[in-house]
Amino acid sequence: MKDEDKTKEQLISELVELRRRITEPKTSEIEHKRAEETLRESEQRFRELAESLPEIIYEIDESGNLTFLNRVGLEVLGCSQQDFKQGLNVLQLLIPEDREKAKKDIGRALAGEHLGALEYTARRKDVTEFRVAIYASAIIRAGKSVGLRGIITDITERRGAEVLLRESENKHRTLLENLPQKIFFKDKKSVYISCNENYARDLKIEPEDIAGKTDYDFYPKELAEKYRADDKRIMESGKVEDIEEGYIQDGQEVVVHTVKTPVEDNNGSVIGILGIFWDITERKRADKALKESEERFRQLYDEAPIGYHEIDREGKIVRVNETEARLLGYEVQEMLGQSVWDFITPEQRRLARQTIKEKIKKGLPLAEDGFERKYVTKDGRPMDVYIMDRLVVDDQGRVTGIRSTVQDITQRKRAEEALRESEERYRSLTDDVLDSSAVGIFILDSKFEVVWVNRALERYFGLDRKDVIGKDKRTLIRGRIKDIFEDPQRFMDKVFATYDDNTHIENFECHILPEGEREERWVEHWSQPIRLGLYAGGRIEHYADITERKNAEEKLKETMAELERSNIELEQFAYVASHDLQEPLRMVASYTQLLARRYKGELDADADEFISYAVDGADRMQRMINALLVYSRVGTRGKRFEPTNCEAVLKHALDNLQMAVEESGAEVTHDPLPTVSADASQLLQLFQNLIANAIKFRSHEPPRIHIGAKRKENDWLFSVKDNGIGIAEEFAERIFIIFQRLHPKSEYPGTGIGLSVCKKIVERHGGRIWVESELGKGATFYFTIPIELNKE
Amino acid sequence: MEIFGKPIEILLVEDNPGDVRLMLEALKEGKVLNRVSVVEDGLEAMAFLRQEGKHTDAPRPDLILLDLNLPLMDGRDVLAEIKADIGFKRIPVVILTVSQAEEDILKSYNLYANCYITKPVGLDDFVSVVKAIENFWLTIVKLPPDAEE
Repeated sequence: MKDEDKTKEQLISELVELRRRITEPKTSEIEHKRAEETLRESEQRFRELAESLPEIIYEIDESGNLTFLNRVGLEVLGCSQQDFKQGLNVLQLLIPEDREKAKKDIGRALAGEHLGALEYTARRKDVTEFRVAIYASAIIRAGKSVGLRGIITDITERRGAEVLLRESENKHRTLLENLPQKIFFKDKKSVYISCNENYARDLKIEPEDIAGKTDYDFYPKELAEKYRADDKRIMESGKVEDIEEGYIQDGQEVVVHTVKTPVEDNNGSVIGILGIFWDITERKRADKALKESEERFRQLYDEAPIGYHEIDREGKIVRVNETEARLLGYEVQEMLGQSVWDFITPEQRRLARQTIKEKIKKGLPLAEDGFERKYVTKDGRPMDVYIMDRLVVDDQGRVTGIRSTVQDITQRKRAEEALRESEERYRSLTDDVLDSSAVGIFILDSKFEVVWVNRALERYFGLDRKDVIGKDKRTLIRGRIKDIFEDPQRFMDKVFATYDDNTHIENFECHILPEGEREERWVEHWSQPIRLGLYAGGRIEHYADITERKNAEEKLKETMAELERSNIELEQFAYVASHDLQEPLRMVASYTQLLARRYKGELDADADEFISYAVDGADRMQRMINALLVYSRVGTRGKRFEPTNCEAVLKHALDNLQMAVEESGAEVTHDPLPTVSADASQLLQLFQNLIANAIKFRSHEPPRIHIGAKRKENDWLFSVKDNGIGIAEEFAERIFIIFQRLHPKSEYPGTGIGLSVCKKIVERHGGRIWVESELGKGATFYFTIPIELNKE
Repeated sequence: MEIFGKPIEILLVEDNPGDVRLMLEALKEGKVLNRVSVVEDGLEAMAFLRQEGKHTDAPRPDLILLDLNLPLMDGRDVLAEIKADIGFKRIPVVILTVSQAEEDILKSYNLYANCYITKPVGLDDFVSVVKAIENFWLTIVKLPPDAEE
């Protein structure tokens, strides 16, 4: 190549010389003439030479515009004479990337620098590219560079060969040096001859320094001996060996795989050993990890909380995990090879087999939502399972079987069943029970939105549940509900108060007005907070229809008023009657007596008898009328209740009865007596009547009378106990009826009014009176007076 | 007051003829000479006192026996008018009635009745009451002089 360059250099200098001669000015005429001749010749020679050369010859001016290009040049660069004449710049003939460098090079060459061959990539007119070497020399005119001239050589082919060779060499060297493997060569005595860089780097030496070293120089004795023993064995046997062994690298023990090959000369005798080894620590670790991972997956497979099995195209189980086997009470081995449908209950077996076969035949669906099946365990128990299938497809897209997961859903089924039952129960509770309740019900959640209303409520309020459920109760009340009531404001106030403070029970009555379908109704609102569960913080509101009760109450009130009025009337009547009856009675009594007085003994005996009966009758009638008057006065002439000391009243009564007490020799004792709210004069009459009674109905013994008082719940229980003749039980009630007598008047005179007056007095005070007695064993009269102040 | 000379004038205001007769019978048995004038209602009683109509010659009574329950003009009103009349108010008025009602008793005394007596039912009692009236009012009590200021 150098020779070629030289030739070119010479050629160029010759050309330059020729050119110089042509253009150099001549001083004398003759010389000029001769010189002209010489010049023409030279030019002719140059042109011929330039055109005949297989190289591209060119000339350019200072700007790089081509001033000359030979025929070869035109051809090689794919330009026409026309193109040249129109003007071509040398830079146009290069690829754009090279143009900057070319400009500089031109500048340097113009400055007279000898640059030798400059390589560029030229571009033809048809834009194909090729490598060129360009030689250039400056064209000097009058000591000044005016352009360049030179040769352009196509070097594409030459450069290719060169590069390939160099690259091949490099590749091998690089390959060897960059191989991750360590390579060494030892002689027969296990002395190193050479090694690659990689190994040298491990040994921390330069490759050329290895020659003459042994393993003892680099490794612990034991390791070195082992290597050498291996070398010896291999060289003796002449067989290549693969060895896995320990190795020290950067102070770390690693595992390496070594291939040692005996090296023979042309005669077949061993002359050394070639070793290649590489680090397999990572691989070993990966192997171990893989093994562990496989084990983990196997465990995962076997011990997954879910059953797995795989069947082939015939439905035979080819794989089943421990979980599924255990679930069904089998060993894995027992299940393998069995038809999968043999584990399904007889009822579902046909269906299962059909489904599986169809699925495999069609190859569809590849995967699907799970379905339920009933399996049978080894001991014959049915078991609900949930199965998810996935078809197994090979590389050719052929279905080879089904892979399934199997889940025990007995618990879930049971829970579902329980849930269904529970739901049914609640549905029944709401739909069958609460909905048929005659009490209207609102259930509100914690936001006081309506969760539910029952049918009775719909009817009472004239609402449709679908218009109210989910709505805010307050809004509903403000909207439609309030106006169904007689007093909307009162209803709103009361109900809203329960929402503002949802802690208490509210209870009030309200009046629903009729409109359209809605009937008039009295309802009782009764509501309370919901404390637990889904609607905790909400409220339940009942509306009980109390129309009938209300009507009955109304009626009762009317009746009571009526009764009271008639009672008053009756008392008035009794009073007035007895009062007005006095007048004629007095007439009868007075005149019969006058008759008796004036004419007794003057008429016959019959007349005297008749007169005496008339007198007696009038007298009795007068007493009875008086008694009636007293009786009626209890109601009509009663006084206000005031705190009344019973001790004082008793004393007063005994004072009034002093005569009777003394005459009968009665002994009257008493407990401490309370102060009660009463009409004092009536209380006096009460005590007096009862004590008088006790004295009156005494036995042959002197009367012993005890007045007792004790608290009993909300009453004072008074008792008047005597040792008199007593009363037969069957008469115990009759004695309190007005004018009822148990004894002939001749024995026990009296009107039969006393106890009925007592009864009336006690009842007016809100108490009760009764007698406990046995004939001949005395009697005890009891009466109660309420402790709480009673309204009259 | 002349007791022995002329008879005592008694005005009985009583609508019940039985009571009138009974009263007259009882007074018959009395010791004091008396003359009883009887009127049957309150209006007539006032007319008698004022000597109006047929009563122009009516004597001024020394004692008035007045029933409370009277037709036309009630005994209470009669009492009130008598006691409000300067000419009559000093005439003693004995209320003689069947009523035992406290309110009647109270009201009568409040209207300045001189005494209040409940008519007894029995004849004997009646007679003794009338005797007691006669004895007390016509013999024991000093009555004011006749209609003079």
